[in-house]
Amino acid sequence: MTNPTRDRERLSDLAVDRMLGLLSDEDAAEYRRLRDRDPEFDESSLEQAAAALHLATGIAPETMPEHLQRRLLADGMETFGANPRTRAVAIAPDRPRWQGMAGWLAAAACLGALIPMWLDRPSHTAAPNPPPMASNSSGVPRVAESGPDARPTPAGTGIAAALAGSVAGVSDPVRDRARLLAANHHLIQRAWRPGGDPAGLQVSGDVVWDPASQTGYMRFVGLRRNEPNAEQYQLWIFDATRDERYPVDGGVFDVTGARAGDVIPIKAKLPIGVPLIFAVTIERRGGVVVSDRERVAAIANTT
Amino acid sequence: MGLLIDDSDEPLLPRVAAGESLAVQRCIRRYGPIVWSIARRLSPTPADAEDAVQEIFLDIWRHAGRFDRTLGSEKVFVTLLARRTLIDRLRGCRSRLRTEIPLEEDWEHEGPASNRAERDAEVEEARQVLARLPEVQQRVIALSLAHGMSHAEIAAHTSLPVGTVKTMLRRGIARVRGLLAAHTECPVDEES
Repeated sequence: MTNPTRDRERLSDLAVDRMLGLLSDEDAAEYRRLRDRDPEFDESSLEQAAAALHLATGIAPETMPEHLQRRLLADGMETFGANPRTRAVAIAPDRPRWQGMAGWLAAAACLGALIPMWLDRPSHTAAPNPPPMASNSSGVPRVAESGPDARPTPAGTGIAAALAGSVAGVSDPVRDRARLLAANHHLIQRAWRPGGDPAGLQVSGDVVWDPASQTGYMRFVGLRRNEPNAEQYQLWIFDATRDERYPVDGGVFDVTGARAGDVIPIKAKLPIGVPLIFAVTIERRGGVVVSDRERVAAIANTT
Repeated sequence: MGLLIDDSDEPLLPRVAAGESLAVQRCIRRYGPIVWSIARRLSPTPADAEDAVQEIFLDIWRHAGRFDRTLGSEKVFVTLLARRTLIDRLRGCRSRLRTEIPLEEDWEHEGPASNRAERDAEVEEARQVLARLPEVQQRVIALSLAHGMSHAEIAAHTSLPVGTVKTMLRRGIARVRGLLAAHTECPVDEES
């Protein structure tokens, strides 16, 4: 003869063991038998209690590795990017993590308001924790400059990364850009558009960025030649994995006005997770730590 | 306040379920550190922990629409999904589990007496239950939940019989469950 109260208690005990992954094979059979006889038993409330108790033991949040954060964000963007309003999602678990750039690009659509917000921000609201600029204060990169230290932190190990590494020591951004374009199918490539400053009214060209190798190039046509001793261009990269108030410094550069367009390697000072917006400002010689955003020459967003 | 600054306790999962890309981003920022911390302790290796975290967040995206704030906090919901995934992954590789987190240090610094800010009511309820339990039972619960130890491993670690370990775990969790269920049925008016 069965005893419902006793059976319920036993089921609860076994459900706890099961929830902890500690249910023995012998007990598993008993658990299934009792569970079948008690369909109203609420197992999820046990899981909820265990979760609350787990948190109550005092878990200290820990900073995730940056590459893992990037993977999660790419997964998330990919999940919702193709169909932003889709609730049920289906993802092949073994799909390469860096595929699906279309998903990335969807994220930028939500940041459309960010550009005017950033541009309108007064200069006195300087970032309390701005990106470092020490390496930019001297030895400002020119178009013709390149070298092993010209690339930001490499993060990838794919073909593009290998290619970027193999050509890092050769100072030919035009050729390097072409090779990157030819070898990589997952590049972000977006056109420049004027940012409002007269220097960029005729700007065209594009920016290409390879997330895997953390390598990229800006190609400018029609961007006014600057006088390096007075002012220089500076790239800022808005990264979805970082605080949007503090775009990453992408390097200071000069424009020579080459007929075919200037090609300039991007020199991000920090690893870029999900680039949403590339913005070029005009700053004093050597660049700045925090831009006052008064002179924006060109913008490329990933929408 | 910046456009993406996440300094509120507003639930994100309904917005994630609606496909808001920025909510996805904020969700990773808000819950990534806690999920990572849990995964590190309940995974055999750091590489497994990373894979688990990815799996957990995919699960969060899939189940975001099921979150019901009237039934509990979002943090507990995320932790529940994280635990479910991690336990599933541990089944079948239990013998490989060798946590690298120093247990004594973890307990002393992150135990129930910790004064870390915790705003989730149900976590506070659980903490109060935990604080009223005998110290050895608190330890048993922490070794199981936070470090994924088996009954036998906890028994060896605490010199308690396996049966006692089982009972302590079952009773402790059931007690919290009963308390939370009672509060869910008779919700407290937070405004009063």
